[in-house]
Amino acid sequence: MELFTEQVIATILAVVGAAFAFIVPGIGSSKAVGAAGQAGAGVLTEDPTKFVPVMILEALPSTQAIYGFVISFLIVGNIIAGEGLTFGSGLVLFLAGLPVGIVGYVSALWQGRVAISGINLVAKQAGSMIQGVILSLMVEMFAILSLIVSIQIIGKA
Amino acid sequence: MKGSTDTRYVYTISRIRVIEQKMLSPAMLERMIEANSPEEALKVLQDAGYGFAGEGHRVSDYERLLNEEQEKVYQLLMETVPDPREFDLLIIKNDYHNLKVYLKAELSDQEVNSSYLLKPSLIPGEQLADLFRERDFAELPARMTEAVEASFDAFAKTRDPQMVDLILDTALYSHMLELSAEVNSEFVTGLVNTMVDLTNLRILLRTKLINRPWEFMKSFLIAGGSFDSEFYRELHELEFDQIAKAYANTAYSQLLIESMNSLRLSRSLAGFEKLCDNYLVAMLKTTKYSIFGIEPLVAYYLAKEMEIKNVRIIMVGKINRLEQYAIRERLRETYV
Repeated sequence: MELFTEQVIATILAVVGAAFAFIVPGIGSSKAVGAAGQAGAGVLTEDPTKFVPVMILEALPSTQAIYGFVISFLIVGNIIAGEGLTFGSGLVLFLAGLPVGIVGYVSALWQGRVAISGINLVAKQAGSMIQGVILSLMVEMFAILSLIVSIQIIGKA
Repeated sequence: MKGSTDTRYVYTISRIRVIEQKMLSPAMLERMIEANSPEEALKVLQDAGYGFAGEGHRVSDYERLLNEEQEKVYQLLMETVPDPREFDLLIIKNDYHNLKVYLKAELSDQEVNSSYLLKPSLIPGEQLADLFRERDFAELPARMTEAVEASFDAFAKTRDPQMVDLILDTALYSHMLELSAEVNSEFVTGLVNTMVDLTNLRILLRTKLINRPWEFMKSFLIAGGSFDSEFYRELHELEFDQIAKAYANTAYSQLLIESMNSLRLSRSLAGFEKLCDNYLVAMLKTTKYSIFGIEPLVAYYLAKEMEIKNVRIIMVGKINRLEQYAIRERLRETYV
């Protein structure tokens, strides 16, 4: 019996896609939220009253990991639901992991920078949380677009 | 300048962004200048949270208050940064100052007055006392050991205490250049380079003002920085008024043009030194919006040093009943 049948290869491709879709933005979000958290702690050491704006800004770069999680969930769902994947479907599912994986990673890191800038902004002017959040959300948009693209690709599998 | 992406300092940077708000604004300095008495001026400082909490200060020991304030900044850095040694280059000038105090006391057979010693320093003043008692300087960083031994030798030959200043000043800047190379930051190397350039420029202007030969100037020049000694030798041969032109294609051209005006009027370097400080403050300000890297930390420490210099100018002025305009004239640009 041949070990690598078409189905096995297709499933492996899809699983790699699912893993990629979560791991890469997950790393990005962890780094970004981690750095923003340190910056937040710096502000709170001096001024504990700024907890709410600092927390909101810190949390923003975590969404990329959530999008990655959604995509990898959908990909894995396709594997189980099907009665054995064709090579073509496996390849499509693998490719579906790329947009959210790559764009999510980059957008998490840069959103992290904007979030830290926002936290420093709040450090100077207590009322500037909204401005900081809005600037940060601009970077969010690219992660959302990559999420949509990934979902559309999954639809073609 | 390329921005740093080193995230190790984000915690300290955000803390600094909060504390920075309490730095003395030009308006607060103005309030100090307009105060009716030194006591009233000191009150502004106390309201701004100067010094360690819970201690009353009298005008007579405002100097201690200023030292405490600088130590506070250094302590913050030491408590929060991953590698405190990177900040050695900020404080070794205090070490070299303390070495001078000890050397001069030793060479003139006097006791060291500990109030002359500066903090923060790499080597605590008390430890220096032990080293000088035993005449064993091996524990000091190599550069300092060399400089101290060279000072003893030079004094034995010339009996001139100025030699101590000369040797230690040169050693200080070489030491700073060495330390700045170990810190992986273009900003920090650029800053120390600029300090060396400006010091050499001051040496050049002073030599020209007092009409001394090149050999005299050469012994003071600090190796390193943006220009070599050949550059300074050529400048030394120029007429005083042409020096600004020789710097025309460098970063210091504007600084020199402005300095020449004040030099022509007074033939004193006070105006030039103020412009140099302003030049450095402008460099420090470039880090105001940085979120990563060591730059904002170094900038904040030095900005605080400059603020304290301003406060000292005002307090000395107030205590000596200087006119307000005379105090204002001496003030440096503020960081905030």
